[in-house]
Amino acid sequence: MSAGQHAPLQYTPLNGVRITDIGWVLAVPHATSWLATFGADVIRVESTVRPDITRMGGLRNGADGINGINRASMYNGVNFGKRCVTIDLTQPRGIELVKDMVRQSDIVTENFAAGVMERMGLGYEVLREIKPDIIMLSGSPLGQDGPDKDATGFGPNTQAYAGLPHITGYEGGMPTGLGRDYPDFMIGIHMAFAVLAALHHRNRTGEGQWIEIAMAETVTSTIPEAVLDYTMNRRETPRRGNRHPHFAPRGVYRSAGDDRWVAISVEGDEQWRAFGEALGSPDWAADPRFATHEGRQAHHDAIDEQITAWTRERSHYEAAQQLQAHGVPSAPVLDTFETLEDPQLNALGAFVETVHPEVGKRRLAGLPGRFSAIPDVEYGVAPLLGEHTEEVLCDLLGLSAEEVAELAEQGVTT
Amino acid sequence: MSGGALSDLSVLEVAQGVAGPFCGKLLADLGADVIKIEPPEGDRSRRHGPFPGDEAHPERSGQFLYLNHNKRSVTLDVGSEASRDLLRRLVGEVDILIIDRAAKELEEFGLTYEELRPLNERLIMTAITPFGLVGPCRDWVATDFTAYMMSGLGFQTPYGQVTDLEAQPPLAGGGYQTDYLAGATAAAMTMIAVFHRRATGEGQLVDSSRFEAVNAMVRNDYSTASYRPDLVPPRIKHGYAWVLPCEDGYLSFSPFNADHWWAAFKELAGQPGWAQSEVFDTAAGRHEHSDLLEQLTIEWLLTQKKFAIYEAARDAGIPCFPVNSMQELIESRQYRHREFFVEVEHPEAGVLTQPGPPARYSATPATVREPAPRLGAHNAEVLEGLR
Repeated sequence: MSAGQHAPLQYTPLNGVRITDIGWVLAVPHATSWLATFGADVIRVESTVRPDITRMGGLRNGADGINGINRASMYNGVNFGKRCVTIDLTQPRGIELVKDMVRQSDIVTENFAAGVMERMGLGYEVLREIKPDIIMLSGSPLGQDGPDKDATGFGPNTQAYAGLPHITGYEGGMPTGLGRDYPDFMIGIHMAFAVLAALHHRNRTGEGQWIEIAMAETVTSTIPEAVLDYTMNRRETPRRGNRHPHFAPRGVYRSAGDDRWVAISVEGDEQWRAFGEALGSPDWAADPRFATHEGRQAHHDAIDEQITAWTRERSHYEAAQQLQAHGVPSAPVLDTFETLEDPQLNALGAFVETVHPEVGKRRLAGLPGRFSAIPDVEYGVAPLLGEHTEEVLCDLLGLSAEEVAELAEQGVTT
Repeated sequence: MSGGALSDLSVLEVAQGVAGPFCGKLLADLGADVIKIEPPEGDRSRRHGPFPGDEAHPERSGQFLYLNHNKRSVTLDVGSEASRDLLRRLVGEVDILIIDRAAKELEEFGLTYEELRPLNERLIMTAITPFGLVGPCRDWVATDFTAYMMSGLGFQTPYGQVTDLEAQPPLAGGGYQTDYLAGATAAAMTMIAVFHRRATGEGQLVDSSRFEAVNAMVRNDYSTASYRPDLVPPRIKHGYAWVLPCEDGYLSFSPFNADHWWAAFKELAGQPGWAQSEVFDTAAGRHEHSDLLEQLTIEWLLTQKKFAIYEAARDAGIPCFPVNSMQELIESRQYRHREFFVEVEHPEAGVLTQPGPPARYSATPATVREPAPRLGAHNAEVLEGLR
């Protein structure tokens, strides 16, 4: 969008929506990062006694090498635009403060182990008593009820339960997981959608509700083909590496450079002919054994050898571009640093610059996609631990400065 | 009209395969009225399967039936001007258009947002393309697989298990993760636009892409790269694997990082001698010797049964899940207790047992009200109203 095409935004889509966010790690924070970015007031409830593990573990280094609880890259990359209060949830007065926040909130989000909120006196039934139209979102690995509700795990573990690694792996090899924190972020999207749908319902009817997301179930809902092949035909989907029954050839092929690859996927005879033309119609591509999909599946190894001889001679971008010019699905296989420089991602505005008070200027991933009527999405910065405690207690809960000081002294808000 | 959370929304879905239809399904299962426009030969997922008994049939494809229940089917050939005229009239009547045509097709067919907006100022047009509607690659073609590979996630799959860069190339995730993720992302973005419209009365173009949807999943790496590029994990295995073998299968077992997990693990394993080494007493020590520790743990795990370890670890509070097969999922007592799998009776395909919705809503449950439609089943009902 060119400047001036839109009048400055007077409002944001979620203006006036308040969220008490008791969630932690990645899944719920990813969901609430969507809500915060589009205008909701997301107030994270954290504690110095038991800080969010993304503030503690992993990487928390500033460029100057100084570590600190406000400097964690993992936390700061997923909590932009939120506020943060510190409240000790092991103290009854702390629980009362959270309830006071809930009274003034539209949504409560959490992903503690099943039953923790109830034990703290913050279960849905209690929250509904004090705020009848509250929307509560609870996320857990396997759900809030059932014999295995207490199982512990992170996203990468939970995808195993869900069946995804069983169908992911090299041919004949062991089951494998998908990239690092994939399940957490994927589930975060489903959580954002679910909360927005429930908020839409509340806006129309005045009715709140409890949304419950079991991470494993969400993952399983994205592999219906494998589930249905079993329930229809009692067949387990085999691990086939990068090959696929509907596409041949399909794979990643070595290109010029160290550990560089190009992904190619050919479907049907017409695309196979286009593929041959893209390579300059070499003799091998006219081999009658490769003329049909079945033949290409049967001789996949031989085809792969020929393709590799071609891809090795060029960069992954060059190879992909040459194939794309003939309408063949292909792409460079990019690592983190290459995606950061990728012309398409940069044209799409995938990365945003934020300036954090302790760690300074950082280039982080924004949220995917573009909105024509919201051309300039503004990304805030992640809050410092407890940065907004006093502000929220005074301005939102109406406590006096003396009361705030007293709570701090009693250790309720530290 | 059902009482679902989105029962006031009407949707026109001009999309095939997985991504667009999954977006439509998420809306439809919460009550939105979704009219699905199919080409005369049907959505390509009707040819995808799996099919009962492996007999291909356009009304029995598991993928199609899962993605398209609760929708109405209308066949239109978007390549013909007469059909496009009907399509434009439908666009004038709905809240949301989900469309997965490439940018240049939208231009060729006169279906760009600029051209549709005059028909419906409140229209939310959710475009789902491989690479987005702008940028140097906007006209590139892609599949679930190639978009996954380009996004950065291919370089992280498998995670923590690559020991030979040449023999273990970047790997596709199982199934169609790119497409399901793109559909869910488009659904969340569509809801943002619904709220924007609620506040302003104006519709808009939502430009979503598979490429970005998956790329957003590697966001932690960008944070790391921005702070300490040298600490971005390499493709080769570093630290602990996420999947370990045991006697009768595989586990995703992570007892090493926290001291209390490690203590619980030693207890669970019966305080074996190898685990008592002082070098394993701290998280840093365990990490430094992760290869040895993992090897010793595997040797022990290979004498243990998958579900016995899972249950012991669960009770001890150690992160651990079995790698479940489809059969094990169907038989999972947890999924059974929660009635996660649902049975849908379809007139052509019989009773299907399929995954239930990805989220549970206490007041407005996601439901299967109608099985997936036969091709063009609602042509008369929908199109005659327009004539």
